Amino acid sequence: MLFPVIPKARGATVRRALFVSEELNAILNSPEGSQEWEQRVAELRADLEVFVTARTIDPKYLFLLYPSRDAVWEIRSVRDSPSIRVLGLFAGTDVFIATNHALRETLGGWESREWKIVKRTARASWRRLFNSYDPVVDTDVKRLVTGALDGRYFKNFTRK
Amino acid sequence: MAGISKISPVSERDIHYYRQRAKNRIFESLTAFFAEEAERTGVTKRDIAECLHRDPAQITRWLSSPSNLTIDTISDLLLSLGAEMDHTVGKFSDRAQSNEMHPLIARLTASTTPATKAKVEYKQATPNKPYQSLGKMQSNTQTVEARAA
Repeated sequence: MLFPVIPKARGATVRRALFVSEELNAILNSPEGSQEWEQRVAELRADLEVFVTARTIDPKYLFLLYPSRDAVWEIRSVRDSPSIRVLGLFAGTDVFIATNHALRETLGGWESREWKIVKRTARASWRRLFNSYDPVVDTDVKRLVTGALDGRYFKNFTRK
Repeated sequence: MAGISKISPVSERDIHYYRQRAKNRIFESLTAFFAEEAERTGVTKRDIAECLHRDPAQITRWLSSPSNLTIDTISDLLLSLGAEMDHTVGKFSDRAQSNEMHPLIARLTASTTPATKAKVEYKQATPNKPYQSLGKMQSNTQTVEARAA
């Protein structure tokens, strides 16, 4: 089962659709915990809502994972304690299905076994949810997300 | 009546949520402005670094995550681009529900037309409303058989 992420703040514009897995939804709507837990859950929610509400999407926020043919993307919720990666696939333009998540510190290098497992979990969750309906495979974020910013502006290219 | 607060308490989660939301919104404005300026004028991070007498890596750090920004660094970055932030404060109670909504979410929250949308009261608790698939469709043959039975 999937749950839509609706912005908590009144008046926020829902520009894109984000659906989260049961597991992620349980975290976002978990009962009150320690102060650290409350802070991290609140920050994760706010970070996920960026996809839903933001006019523009920063190139460091949403990443296509290797190999691109698998169409697994990650949303980065970057913090010191801990950084969280939310993995998912696109069902259509501006429709992201967040299938699973992982703590960055447990994943290791990009070719690690742990990374492979979470990517495989994302694809397996997709198949369980949508069966024969394939995710959108595209390497150009601008075709998948309206308002996606071009990453080249954030690199140190020289003035033309 | 002394000692009774005129404002209701806010949960720890809401405090952190709105802090992060504020950071994310400012970061979004900043990066969008920087991308626009870069496209329009060709300005680079290196130019900004030189302008602010900073290391280019510092500018990269500032623009890499909302958590790396402070009010001072926001001011510095915007100043280097010949700009500053304008601020407005809005009360939640004065804010109308946005007219713009992704069609899929609009359908799920049952507010498909602008007229309906205006009537529908803003629902804050909708994250708990699950998406349910339509289930497996019956084939034509099965339907005919069911009718015949």
